[in-house]
Amino acid sequence: MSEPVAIVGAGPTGLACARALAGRTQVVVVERGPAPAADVRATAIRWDGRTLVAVGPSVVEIAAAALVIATGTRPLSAAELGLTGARPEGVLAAPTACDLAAHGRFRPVRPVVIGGGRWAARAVEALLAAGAEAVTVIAPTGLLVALEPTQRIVLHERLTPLAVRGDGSVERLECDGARFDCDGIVLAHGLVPIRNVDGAVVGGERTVYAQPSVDPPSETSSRAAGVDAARAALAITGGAATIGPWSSSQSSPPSA
Amino acid sequence: MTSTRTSDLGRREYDIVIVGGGVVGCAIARRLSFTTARVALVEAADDVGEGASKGNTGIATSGADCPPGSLEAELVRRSSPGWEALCASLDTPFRRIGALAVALTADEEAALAGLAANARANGCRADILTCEQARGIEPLLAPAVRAAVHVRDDGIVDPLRLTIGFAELAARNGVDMYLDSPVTAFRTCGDRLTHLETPHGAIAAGVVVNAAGIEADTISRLAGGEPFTTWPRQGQYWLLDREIGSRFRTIVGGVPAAATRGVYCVPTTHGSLLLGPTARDGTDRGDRAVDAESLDGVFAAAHALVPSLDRRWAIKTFAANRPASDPEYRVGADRNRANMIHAAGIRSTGVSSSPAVAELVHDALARAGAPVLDERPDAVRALDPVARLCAHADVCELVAVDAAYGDVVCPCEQVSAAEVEAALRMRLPARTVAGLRKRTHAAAGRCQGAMCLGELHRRLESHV
Repeated sequence: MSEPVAIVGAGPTGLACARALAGRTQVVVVERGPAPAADVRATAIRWDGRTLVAVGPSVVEIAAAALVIATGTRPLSAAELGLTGARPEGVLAAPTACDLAAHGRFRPVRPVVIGGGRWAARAVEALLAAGAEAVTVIAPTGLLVALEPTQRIVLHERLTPLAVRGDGSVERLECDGARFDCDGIVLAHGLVPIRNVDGAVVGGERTVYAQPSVDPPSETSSRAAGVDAARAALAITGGAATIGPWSSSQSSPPSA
Repeated sequence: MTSTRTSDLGRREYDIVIVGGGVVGCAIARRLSFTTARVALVEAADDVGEGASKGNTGIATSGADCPPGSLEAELVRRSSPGWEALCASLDTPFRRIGALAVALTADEEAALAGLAANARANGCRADILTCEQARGIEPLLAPAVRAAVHVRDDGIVDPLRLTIGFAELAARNGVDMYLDSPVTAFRTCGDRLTHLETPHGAIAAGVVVNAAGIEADTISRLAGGEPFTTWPRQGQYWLLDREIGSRFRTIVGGVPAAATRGVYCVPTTHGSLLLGPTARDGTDRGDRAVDAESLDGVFAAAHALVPSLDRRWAIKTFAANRPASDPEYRVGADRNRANMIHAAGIRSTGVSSSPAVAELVHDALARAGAPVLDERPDAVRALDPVARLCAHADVCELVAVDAAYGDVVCPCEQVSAAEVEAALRMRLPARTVAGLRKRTHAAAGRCQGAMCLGELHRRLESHV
């Protein structure tokens, strides 16, 4: 086996995949953020089924036998949520909202958070820390994390957000049967894979996607997805198809 | 120090002041910047290209469905052959990929001959194709297609980069850009306008050019010019991922009917795909809301043309207002004011006609006595292109020359720090995150800024 398996993403899933492949094939882990365990600090941008191109301080071309995409997930965008209405200022995806709130650049007084999982919980925390008087949480499919209603946290489960209203700045979120005046909306519902390597966004050649969308994310689901991806990558490279031993915390080992 | 002169208390006297920083006003500014005239442009918004120039299909039409004999048809026809050279000089992406008007019903098929005749009357190359021929050009077309008209010379352009390119070149040549400067009143002397009033002070003008788009009627009324009516024609759009958009070889549209020109599938110069627009006349100029019913209608119409379209590719839905007006294409001297030129009522073909509109306004200015006949030999004619990481043929060389190309700020659209920094260092720089998005496409991709907006804010603030 001369060519390595390239893994994009040095999060829990990518590193679990790398560990599962260790000793069976060469592995190159590419990560764009700070990650000590990564082999290459660069942003993977292209894959043609043979060579992964990543750009960083220099361009790295990795001839790889298979590609594992383990770049994580993000909440659904407004279009993916099917939100209609206007596109005013103050409607932000949760990762951006948390980032900007932490730096004092997003400080709504009465925001609405759409979502009931890990990103929603993070957004609520960030907004309250940034000075929100009260945060309304709309969980379209119910709460997936522990979030207790308080004087500053109002919960609405199983409402469907429909439309954003506001002229210039956001003023209101309309749901089925309810409407919420607000000065900020955070999109934190659902998890979709982040895929930005051209040629491997969907159905890439010799490509394995390892992006569990379990909310809240868990070590178990990340490890399982990484190990599954390792097995699929080995199947592509023609290597052994069994990987083990399974850790004791794994509830049900996938059948070989 | 930004390129705006809103805080500049120095000389505010110009031979010509253009009102409106859309694609038309900026095209005029560029054209006049080649002359010795002293020129300024005033824009109500905080950036150029904030109105109809921001929300359109990006089609540079060759004029196939313009009314034959109209000024619109003439100006579109004059503009069309020059797109490659013009866009190259403005660092603006353009591709002449042609367009198919596709008939799905017997009635639509019967209308194709008229469509082709209309196109030829406007000097466009137009061929009627069988289903097989049409699918040979665009394999994504539905097998149910009966026939199509192929217009070979239609193209796609990035309308924002075009508008910004026009404005940037004008600014390099000394045109003063007053942003955040809505015109609130005019001062007059006899039948002449002497000053424009803005919240930041008055600007003296020898001649005023009204290129205010949907607000052209307001400007004419404030100036005491001829009566003019404009109203918003709202269009709703879907933006789909470049995973599907990059598979398109050509623009695909339905057959225009009496009520509407129909829905298009338009590949963008970024590789994504636009579906739309709807056409609904309204009264609220600020209404940019989408509704599920209209969006469903757009998607269904597009899906009938291209069955492989899937909503899972949607990255954004949006609405924009283009100016509808009575009269249309009012380009020329005002009947009441001796020193006002209109470039108004430029309806949905504003991008496609903007180069020739600018020439026509130049000629009208000359007739009005403005000093625009002497060309400046030292004028900058082209912008230095900024290389773009996304889809670049030689990434290695790019990063070797400038390591900032290896610092990817927006992974979805593969926009590098080099491109962001270039947008912050222009004569007409990005002053907001929206301005950065317009100039670089950062935050305009799949995740709509979920992963990069924080970093864009930081880079912006480090420049302010």
